[in-house]
Amino acid sequence: MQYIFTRLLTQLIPTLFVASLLIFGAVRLIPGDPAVAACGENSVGTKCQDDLRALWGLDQPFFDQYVSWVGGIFQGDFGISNKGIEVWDVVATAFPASMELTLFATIIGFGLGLLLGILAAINRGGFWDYFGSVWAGWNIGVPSFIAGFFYLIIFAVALDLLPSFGRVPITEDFDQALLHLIMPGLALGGIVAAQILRFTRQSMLDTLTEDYIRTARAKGLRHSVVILRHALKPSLIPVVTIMAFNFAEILGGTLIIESVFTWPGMGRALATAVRDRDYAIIQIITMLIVGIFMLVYLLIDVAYVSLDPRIRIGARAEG
Amino acid sequence: MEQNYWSRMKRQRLSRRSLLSASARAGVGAAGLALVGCGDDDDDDQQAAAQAQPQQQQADQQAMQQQQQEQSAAEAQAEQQAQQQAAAQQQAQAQQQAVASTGGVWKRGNTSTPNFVRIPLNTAGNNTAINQNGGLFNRLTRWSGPVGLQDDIGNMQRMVDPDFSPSPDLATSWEQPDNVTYIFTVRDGVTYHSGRAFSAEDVAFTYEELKNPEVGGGGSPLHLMSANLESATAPDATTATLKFRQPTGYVYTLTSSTNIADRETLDQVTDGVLIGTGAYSFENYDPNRGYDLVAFEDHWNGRPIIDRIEFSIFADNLAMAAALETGDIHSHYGVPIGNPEAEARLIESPDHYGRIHIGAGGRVLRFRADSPPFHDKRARQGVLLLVDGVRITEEFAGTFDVAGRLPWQPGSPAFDAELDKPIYDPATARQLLDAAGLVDADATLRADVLPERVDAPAVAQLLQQELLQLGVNMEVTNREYTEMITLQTTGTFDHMIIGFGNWVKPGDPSVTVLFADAYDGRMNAPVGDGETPLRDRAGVREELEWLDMIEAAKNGTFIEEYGDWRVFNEKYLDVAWSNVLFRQYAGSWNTNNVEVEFDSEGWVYVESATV
Repeated sequence: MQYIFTRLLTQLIPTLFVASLLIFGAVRLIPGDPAVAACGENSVGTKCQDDLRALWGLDQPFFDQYVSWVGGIFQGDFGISNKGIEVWDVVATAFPASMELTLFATIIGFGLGLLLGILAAINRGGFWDYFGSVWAGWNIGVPSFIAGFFYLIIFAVALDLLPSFGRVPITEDFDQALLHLIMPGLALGGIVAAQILRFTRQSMLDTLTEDYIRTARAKGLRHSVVILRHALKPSLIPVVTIMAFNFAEILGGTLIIESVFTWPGMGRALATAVRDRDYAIIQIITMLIVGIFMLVYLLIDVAYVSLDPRIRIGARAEG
Repeated sequence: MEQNYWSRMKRQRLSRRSLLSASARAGVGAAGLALVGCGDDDDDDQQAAAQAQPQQQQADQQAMQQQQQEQSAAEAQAEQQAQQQAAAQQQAQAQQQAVASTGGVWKRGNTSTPNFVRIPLNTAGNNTAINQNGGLFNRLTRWSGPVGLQDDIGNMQRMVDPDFSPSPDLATSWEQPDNVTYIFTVRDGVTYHSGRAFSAEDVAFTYEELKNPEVGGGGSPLHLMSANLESATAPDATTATLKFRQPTGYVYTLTSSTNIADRETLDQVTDGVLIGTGAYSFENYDPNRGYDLVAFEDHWNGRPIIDRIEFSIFADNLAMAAALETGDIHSHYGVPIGNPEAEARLIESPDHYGRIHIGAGGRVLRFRADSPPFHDKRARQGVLLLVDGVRITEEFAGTFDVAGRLPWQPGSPAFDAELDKPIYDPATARQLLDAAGLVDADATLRADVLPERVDAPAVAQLLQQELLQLGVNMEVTNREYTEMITLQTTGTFDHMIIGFGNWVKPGDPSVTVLFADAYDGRMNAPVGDGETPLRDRAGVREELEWLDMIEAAKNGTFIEEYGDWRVFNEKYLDVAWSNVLFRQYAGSWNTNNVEVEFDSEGWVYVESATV
C-alpha cells in the first residue's frame, strides 16, 4: 500500500502534470487552429475565426488558457467541444466502447497467440508451426488498418458474414455485440497474438527441453498432462508480462481501427477531434489514455512486487 | 446492421415443408450415390443378363415407360401446385411489403459530424448533412428543384435542367412592395414538435437572432447574409416582414436556408433540445455514433412515410462505402464518397442506384494575383487552359462531378452553357505563358494541394506534366485540411491552390459572389495589415470593373446595370483569379431496398419508401 502511495505521489501525479502541459502545448502547435476548422473553407474573411477564438478563449495567453483548463477539470468541468457538445458526454460514451474493444482484442490476442504458440511448439516443424509462422508474419508485417480493411472486404462485403460497422452494447444483444467485435478485435488483437505466439512457442520449446519435463515423461505421464501441467505454466511467466504491456498497446491501436470500423470509441473521437482541431476533446482523451497507460504500468509493477520478493527486498535495502 | 448471414440464419424457421424437401433431396442424393457406387461393379453382370433375357427386358421397358408417364403426370401436377403456392406466397410478400412501405427504419450514412449548437439556425460554417437535408426544421421558402435532378448515375448526360425558383415552405405566398421590403404570409395550423403553435412571430424572432453575432454564429454565411437585414417583424400572426437596408440579391437564398427556430427552446440547444416544425423530430444525438429522428405525427404536410431515420457518422469514406455495399446502411447523402474505385463498384452493383442533388460547389484553381508570376493575368489564363477538365472528371473526380468553367449550376439565371464548356488548349496556353515570360524561363510554380480530396493531386500532377513540356517547373505541397483553410482564407499561399471549392447555391447568382470571396480578390491579393482598402491592393486595382460587377450582383442590380449575365461570365473567365475546373453535386447512393423520392432539399418531403 505504501509502495502504491509512493508511486502515485512521486511518479503518477508528476507525470500527469508534465503530460498535461505537453499535451496542452502540443495541440496548439499543430498547424491550423480550431476556429479555422470550425468556420470552414466557405467562411468569408477571418471574422468567423476571430469570433470563435474569442468565444473559446483562444485569444487568451497560453498559461491563462492552461490554468483555466486544469481548474475546470478539478471542478469536474471538462469543457465544451467546438461542436458545442460537453466533452464529458463524448468521453462517457466513448470510454466504455474503447475498453470493450480493447479487452476483446486482448482476449483474442492472448487466446489465439497462446493456442497457436503451444501448437507450434509441440508440432515443431509441422503444419501448425508453419501455419503459426505465416500467420504471425501476416499480423506483424501488415499494418492493422490495412488488415482491418482486408477483413472488412472479405468478411462483410464479399462473404456477408459480419456487420461492416458500428457497435451493439453487450447488455443489449450479446450475439450482435460479439459479431460486431470480431473484425475490429481481430485487426487489433492480431499483432498482439503474433507476438504472444512467438513468445509462447519459444518459451515452450525452452521448457520442453528442461530435465523435469524429461523426468515427467520418464515417469509415464500422459503427453497432454506433461504439456498442460508441467510445461505450460512456467512458459507463461514471460508471456503474462508482455501481455500487460500489450493491453496498453492495443488501446493505442484503437485510434485507427475504430475509424475503420466506425466503432464509437475514444480512438475515433480523438481522430475526428484532431482533424477538427477540437482541442477540448483532444486534451481530455489524450490525458485519459496517458492515465490508463500509467495505471497499467503501475499495476504491472505492483504485480512484480507481489510476485517477486527480490523487488521488495531491494526497495527496503534502498530505503 | 442485423442483416448479415448469421442473423438471417437465426431468423430462418424450419418448416415441415422444408424438412420434407430437404429429406427428399437427401434421399434422392443418397440413392443416386448408391446407384453410382453400385454401377461400376455390376456393369458386366447386367450386360450378360440383358443378352440372356431380351423378352424380359422388353416387358420391363414397357412397364418402366408406363411408370415414367404416370410419374411425369404426377410431377406436372405437383409442379403446378408448387407454382400456385409460390404465386400465393409472392402475393402475400407483396402485401407485406406494401404495409412495410409506410414504416420502417431508414439507415443513413454521413461523413460529417454535425455542428450541434448551430443546427437550429443553420449557421454552421461548414454545412452538415443534418442541416442540408432539413427535416427537423422548415424554412420560409425552399428551392423548387425537381425531385432528384438525376436518377441514373450511369447516364450523367441526361441531367435535367432544374428550375431554381423559390417555392412555399412555411410561407405560402409573398410580395415585394419595394426593392427592400419582403412580406411573407405564413402557413396556418403549423405546430412545433413541442406541440406549440407556430406563428409569424417565430419568423421575426429567428431573423433577429440570426443578426445577433453571438447566436447567429459570428461569421457564418447566413449571419453575414443577414447584414443587410434592417428588421424582421410580425405585424400579425400570419404575416412576417423582412426589411433590408439596401437592395439585396440573395434574399431567397436567405429565406430558403434559414431554419425557423423555436423561440421558446432555442437557448436550450446545449442541453440537447432541438425543436422545429419539420417532418421528423429529434430523438437523440451521440457524438460518437450519430443521431436519430422519428416521424412527427402532426406535421403540417402530413406524417412522413418512414417511421424513423438513423444517421451513422463514418470517420472513413471507404468504410461507409463498404457499409453501403453490405446493406448495413441504406443510403448515403451529401458530399460524394470521393473514392472513384468505391463509386465504380456502386455504379456496377445491381443492388444500388445513385442520385444527384443540388450542387455542393465547384472545384477551383485559385491564383495569387498580387505578386509574380500570377500578377499577370495571361499567366493565370494560360495555366487554366492546360487543365483538361473533361479528363479529370472522367478519370479522377467523383461520379457526381461535371466538367465546366462557370461557378453556376444549370438552372441559375447566370448559367451559360456555351461559356461553361471546358476548354483544354495547350497551344493557346503556350502563347499566353510565353507572353507572360514563363516558357523556358526556368520558372518554378508552387501549388498547395489538399490530397484528401482525391481529384486534387491528380489535377496537380496533370498540370505538372503539361507545364514541364513548356519548360516550366511546378512544385506540389500536400496540405492538411486546416492548413489549406488557413492558406485560402488568409491568402497566404505562394502561387496557387488546388483542392478547395466554392459554395455555390443555384437560385441567386449573387450568393456565390458573396461567399466565394476569392471573386472580389480578397484571397487573391491579401494585404498583411488588412488596412489597405481592397480597391487599392496590388492585383485588385487592375480589375475595378470586375469589383463593380460583383457589387451589382450582391445588390441584385446586375441585370439592371449590365443587361446580361454573359458580361459577368466573360469577365469572370478573363480576370481568372480563381476559375472553376468542375462543378460538384451532392449525391446519394442508395440500396434498392429503399426507394425514396427526394425533393431539392433532400428527403424532407418523402413521397414513397420501402425500407
